[in-house]
This record gives sequence, structure tokens and C-alpha cells, in this order.
Amino acid sequence: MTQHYLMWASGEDRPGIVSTVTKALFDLRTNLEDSSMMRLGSEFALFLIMASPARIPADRLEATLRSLRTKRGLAVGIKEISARQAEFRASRQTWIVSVHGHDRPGIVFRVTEALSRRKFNITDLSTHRTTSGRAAGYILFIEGELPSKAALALIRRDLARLASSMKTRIGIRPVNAESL
Amino acid sequence: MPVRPIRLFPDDVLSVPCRPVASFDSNLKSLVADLWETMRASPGVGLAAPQIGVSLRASVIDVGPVTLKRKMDSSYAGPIVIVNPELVEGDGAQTPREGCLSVPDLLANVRRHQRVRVRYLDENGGKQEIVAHGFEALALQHEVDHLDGKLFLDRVSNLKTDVFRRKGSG
Repeated sequence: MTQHYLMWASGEDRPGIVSTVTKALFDLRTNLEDSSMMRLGSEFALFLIMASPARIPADRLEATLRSLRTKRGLAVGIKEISARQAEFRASRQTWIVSVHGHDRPGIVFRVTEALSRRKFNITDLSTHRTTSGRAAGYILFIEGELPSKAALALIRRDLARLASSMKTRIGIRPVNAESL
Repeated sequence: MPVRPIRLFPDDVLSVPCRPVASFDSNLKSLVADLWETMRASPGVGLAAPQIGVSLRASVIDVGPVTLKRKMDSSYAGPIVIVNPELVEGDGAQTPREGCLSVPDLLANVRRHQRVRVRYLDENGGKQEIVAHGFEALALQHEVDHLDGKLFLDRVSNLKTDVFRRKGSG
């Protein structure tokens, strides 16, 4: 019976990390189903979901992880997940919350806390700190789903208050994706 | 006509809508001269007054150095000064990768109209209208955004897929 796994790994960025990890997973006869990989600072990080035709024996799995840790210097982790957890769930309508302004402590926390209070479900988040100006700038993008249309007005109001108190610019807008 | 320092994100002057120009006097002429001087000393084809710290609805644009050199499919009206511009019509779509002198370490894929009609005043207060397409249309939209207190960051959806660091910035 198919068993799904969530695996994460990171290591100092250099050519060959992706091929090293995916070769190890290929050798375990798993199928890579979903993944997100990126460079953050000088570190390369990856998260992936893979499917195995059957549960992988623990000693074999551990040997693979040990090899990635010791021979490749990667930090790695893995856990079993259910087929339901592994399933891709498309959003019907997603919304973008964009924040940009002066860098200050707590931007991500305060914005996500406001969204969480209104049950806004975050599906993607990325940040960037700029240092080219006289002061450091901060850019935050959040993508997610509204719990209901009625929540939008409340979220707009909360974000407007937050923008005013943090003296930053915060917007929320729908992601328009027309299908042809 | 000094080259003025370019204001960089997150400078507050970049995020507030600019006041309309009311007087077409020597102060405006001096501002426009500074905009040209500063733009030509920079790797840019347009510059808006707030980018040199003046919150007035005035910009300069000259896309020729880029469109002619790269033989782009774009209109080219020559060097233009746009004062109190109003985007009255826009159609079609383009999503080029664009940069901004005020956000120097990032580039972004920004969805823009392919063709625009903009009404504006010239530096003498004369009524003008321009119909532009391609890169010149993009430049006009970018400059009008500056005068409305918007950066391209207001028009992108995702840092990972729409925003890119310029090479060499880390």
C-alpha cells in the first residue's frame, strides 16, 4: 500500500544538492509528488512530498538520511504523512496580502496574527529585507484563502488599522487567474 | 541643475500620492531640469519628482535610448515631460520584467497595459495627449504609479515568482 512521506533538507548552497537528494529518493524507489526548493541567504532548502509503493523499512530510511547528513553535510528530516495530507488541494480563490515599508520588529507576526484572528488561511508567504536605502525596507507577501466573503471587510479594516499603527503600506487583493 | 540623490524604498515620499502642479513657473522649470539631469546620470529612462524628494505630479520620460538600441516594438514620442498626467485609457497586456531606480536591488514581473492613452500638461501648462504602446506605455504607467504613491511592489503578487534580485546584489 502506498505510503507518503514529507521530507525536508537544507545545506550550504552549492551545485548538486537537488540531484543528490533526488538520487537518494530514486534509490528508495519513491516518486516525488510535490516540492518547494529555494535558496535563503546562502542556504539551499527543500521540502518535498514523495510516495513509496510500500512503507520503507526504518533501517533503510535511516541509512539514506545518515548518508545525506554525513557525506553531503545536509540537515535532513522525514515523516510519514497520510494520502489525504499528501493530496494537492487547489484553492478556489486566493488573496494576496502585500506589506511594504520600513523594517521594524514584528511585522510578520503582527500581520499574520491579524489574519489568523479572522481565520484567513495562509498558503504561501515570502519576505525580503532591502538595505539599499538609508533605512532598511521590508517586503512581505502572503497568499491565502478567506474563510468567507463576509470576512473580507473585517480583514480590510484590521489591516488598515495595522498599517496606520505600523506606518507601513498593507493591501489585500484577489489573485485573478483567468482560465482559457 | 544639480544631479539630485535618488530617494530609495522605503523612503516615505515614495508612498504618498503627489500634489498636482498648480504653478507653471520657474520652480517647475528648475524641477524638470533637475529631473532630466538626474535621470540622464542614472541607468533609467524615466524619473518622477518624488524620486528626488519632491511630492509633485511631474515626471520625465525618454525611452529612446532603450527602444532604439534594442529595436523594441514600442512607440517613441521623444523626451517628454508629463505634468498632472491622467491615464484615460489602457488595453492589452504585457508582463515584462521591470526595474525602478528607487528599488535598485529588485526586478519584478509586473502586468501592464500594452497600449495606453495619457492626458497631461507639458512644462508650460499646455494640454497634451499621448497614445503609446510597448515599452513607452510601460514607462508611462510606471511614472503615473510613482505620482500616485505606488511602487511596482504594489502590483506584484508573489515574491518568489514575480520578484527577482538584480544580479550582483547578493
